Amino acid sequence: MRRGSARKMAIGAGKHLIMVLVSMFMLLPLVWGLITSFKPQSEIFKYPPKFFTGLTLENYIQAFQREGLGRYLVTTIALAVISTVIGILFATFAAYIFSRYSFRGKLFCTTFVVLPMLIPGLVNLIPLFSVYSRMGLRDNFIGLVLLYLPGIMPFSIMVLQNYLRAVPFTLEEAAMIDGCSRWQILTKIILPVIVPGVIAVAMIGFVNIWNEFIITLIFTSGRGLRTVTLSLFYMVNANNVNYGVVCAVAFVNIIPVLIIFLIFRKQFIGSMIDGAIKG
Amino acid sequence: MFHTKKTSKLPYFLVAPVMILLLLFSYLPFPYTLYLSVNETKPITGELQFVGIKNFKRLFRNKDFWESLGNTGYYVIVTTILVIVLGVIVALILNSKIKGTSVYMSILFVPWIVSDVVAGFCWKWLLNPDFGLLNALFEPFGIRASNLLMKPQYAMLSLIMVTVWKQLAYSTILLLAGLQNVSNDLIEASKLDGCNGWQSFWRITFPIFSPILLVTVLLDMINFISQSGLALVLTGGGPLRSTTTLALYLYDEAFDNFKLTNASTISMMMALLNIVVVCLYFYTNKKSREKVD
Repeated sequence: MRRGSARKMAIGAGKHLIMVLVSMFMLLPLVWGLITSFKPQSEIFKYPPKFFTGLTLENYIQAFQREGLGRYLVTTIALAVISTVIGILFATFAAYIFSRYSFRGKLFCTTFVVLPMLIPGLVNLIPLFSVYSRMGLRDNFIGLVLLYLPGIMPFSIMVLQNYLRAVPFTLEEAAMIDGCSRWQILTKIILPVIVPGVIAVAMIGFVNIWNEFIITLIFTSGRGLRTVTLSLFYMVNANNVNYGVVCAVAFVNIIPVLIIFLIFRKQFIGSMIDGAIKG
Repeated sequence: MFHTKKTSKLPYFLVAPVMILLLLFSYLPFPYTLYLSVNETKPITGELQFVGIKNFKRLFRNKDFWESLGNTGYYVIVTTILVIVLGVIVALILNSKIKGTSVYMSILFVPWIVSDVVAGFCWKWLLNPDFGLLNALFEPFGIRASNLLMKPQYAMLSLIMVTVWKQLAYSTILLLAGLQNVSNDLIEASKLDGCNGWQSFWRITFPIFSPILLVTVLLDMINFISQSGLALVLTGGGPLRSTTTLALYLYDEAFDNFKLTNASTISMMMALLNIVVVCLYFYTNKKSREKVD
């Protein structure tokens, strides 16, 4: 045995120990919520709490039957899908133009598009609230979609621009020689190549809107446009919090996001780095 | 690169939707906030009346404002330090290519992808004074964990802890990207020249890595200055305003008390704070890219 290999093993074990502790810290609150969501009502309000009790689906059933979770799910999916599709479509156009065309005022445009990422969202909501109230745009589906879009477009443009930079321009030149119009180049050559990038930013946009609750809280009043995340906020702040049911709603809220993340993990992480550092 | 003739409208046509939307929803609101901040709402008619810097003067005399500014400073600085220190440690470990890196990374990201409401709620339930798991776990040590949320002197610590829990992944991944900029050849060359691990870290890795470290610090600060969702769910600013940051103060004034002109005044101060950090971000980001290139 080489000298120092014991020391190396100790360092390796130490690294794993730190990571296991960090992982436990990360998972404990969510795992505990998940366990709670499957506990019968009688077990939830017992002290000291137990990790293992009888399992029941009553919290989930109640969430759908009494709290109307199904309706909130439909609303959330509709809002998130429509906002994402519109936002990503326009972001893709802009990213393509910025990475392939030189035109007058380009620098102004690229700066203009990226700067909003650094404006705290809350600051803009005050004047928008005032205008929306006066124009009767609160509790309006389209109005809400328009408010979500600035939150996803700048980031998506930055990430897609980075993506496009890696696509060789010769591809487009060849297409041009073969007689493609510029519009055809975009739709027939570029779009198919960057589909993975587009899907990645679309997923991030979807998750952002799915998780959003402050805009929705301020700009809606009734149950008509209540999202799952917002309904959770109202339930947490209610006078009598039914923890079992709230935990069930929380998990219905997490599951789609978690699935999307696990499928697109690499793209998620890569895009985050692009969006923060390379822009 | 396509060079468009002056007559070609295609680029402008395709960029226009994004530009118009951002103009309406991200840029124009700002001057309107400024306008609101120098006006007052008349009590009965609800009309706006120009009052100059009166709102600002009143804000500066307001104890609540200074308290929330102090809270923001405390929150932003302590959270940033913790996130960066932990982030550097975790990034260094993950960069050393131990087994299970991708599993650890996935776990690290779970808090980051859930919504602020889920995060705040799960911690609230964990710290529940009557039925909370943490009370039960720490009782044998004589610690009442739920005090973290219930006592004004500790509440900010709980908010900081939950923010670290939620944002650690973001910082870690940026720092890890920074570490991966450092090529292994350089490290090995320094070892051949007789550097030990510690020396090669400070002499080789750190100088290459430091611009990204700085960018991460500033991005975290920008995030934390405007952070409001977590605090809103976890503590609602209490107990006794102990966790009311500037962002939360702004939220309360605007959307609980509906004093839009006052809120705009707070908003301007928050924007000012943000602009300083943003300018630093652009400056360092530009520098760091110059170095990498």
